Amino acid sequence: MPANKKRIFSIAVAVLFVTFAFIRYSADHQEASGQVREVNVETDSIVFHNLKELEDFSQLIIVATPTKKFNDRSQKSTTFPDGTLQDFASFNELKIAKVIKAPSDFDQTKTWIEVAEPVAIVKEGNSSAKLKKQGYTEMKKDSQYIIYLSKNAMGQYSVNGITGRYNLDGTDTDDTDAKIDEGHKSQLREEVEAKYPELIKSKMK
Amino acid sequence: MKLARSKWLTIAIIVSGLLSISDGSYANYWNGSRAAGANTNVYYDSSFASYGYTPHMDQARANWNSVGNSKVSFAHPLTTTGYGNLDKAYIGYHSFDTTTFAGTWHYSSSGSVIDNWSSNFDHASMIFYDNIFAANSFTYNQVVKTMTHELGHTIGLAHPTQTGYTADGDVTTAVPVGAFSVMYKGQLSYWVQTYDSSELKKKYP
Repeated sequence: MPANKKRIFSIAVAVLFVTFAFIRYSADHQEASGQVREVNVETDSIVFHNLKELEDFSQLIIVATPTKKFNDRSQKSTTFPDGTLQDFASFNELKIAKVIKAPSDFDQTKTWIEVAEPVAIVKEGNSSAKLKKQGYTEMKKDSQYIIYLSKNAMGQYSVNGITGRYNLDGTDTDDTDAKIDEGHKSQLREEVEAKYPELIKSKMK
Repeated sequence: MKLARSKWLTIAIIVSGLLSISDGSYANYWNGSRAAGANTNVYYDSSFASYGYTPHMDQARANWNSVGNSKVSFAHPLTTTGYGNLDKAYIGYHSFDTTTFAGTWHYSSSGSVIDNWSSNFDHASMIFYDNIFAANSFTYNQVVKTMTHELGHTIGLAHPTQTGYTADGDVTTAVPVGAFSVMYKGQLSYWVQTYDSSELKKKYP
């Protein structure tokens, strides 16, 4: 092999090694750089096998649109006395377009509501991590959803997990990914589409 | 020289392959494992005795211990002294959510919550929410199932799915038709199944 080709080949191999080493190092040391890591945590939760079960469990069902970006939303977490993380949530302010089901004490003239979602940025010493329960992703600003909610221990409405909200306008691909099998999501989405065809602005994928 | 070049290429391909292994699993357990192996110690936080859940967790540990895999065991030290970062189980109160009754956080040795799917982890915390158990009238068997399920997460077992896809796009193997698993999500009453023992054998041969 001519000397030039040999040199080019050696450099290419060296670049390959350095690139992979850098990728690996970056992944392992993301925390040290102060970036917010995204972490999916495992949770066990009530499973809704069909839409009726979800509707029966839900105290409030609305069509609504988030008004703020995720980073502008309130983030909360609780800990045990030894500092171990107990629970977390972010609070999403929604503009209500329609109320489908509500308890008798719910003011149906309300035009907005703040709801808890199982995803939040949690402080860890000098850094932060975005924790998601079982792959839940936050509802996106300006996207429209049908949302199934129940009152939590603090008296606020909370989204009933990943099967508790369905994007209606096709603008949140995190929600409409057909591959998602979490808690019968795909099947429930089909039932939602069949029950509320007038709400579907863009056929879910 | 041809031989030298092929050696370089082989080394580069092998190293690239090893470095790029990051996501995904091809069975219902994660690529990530506990760094020190699956013979573990589980410390019960004082909340266990306060809420009366000690017998439930004792039964859950016994469920896995009776599988007879010498590489998997759950002991129960009565003190944390001398055990380093051992696993801890807590009974908590869910302030924000209405559907989640348990969760497991996996930690690095430095104490950061990490994604358990692909990362090796150092220790874990299991959280069980008494108020969600109560709100959904959990039976003894259902609480034991939940604790057995979370113990499964602490040794790297994942949630099985029917389609082979999870919410965050990871790939698993679909559970055979008719097979049950304690690692299924939901308010279920059955404990360790034949399928779980076989997955454990694959993970810890």
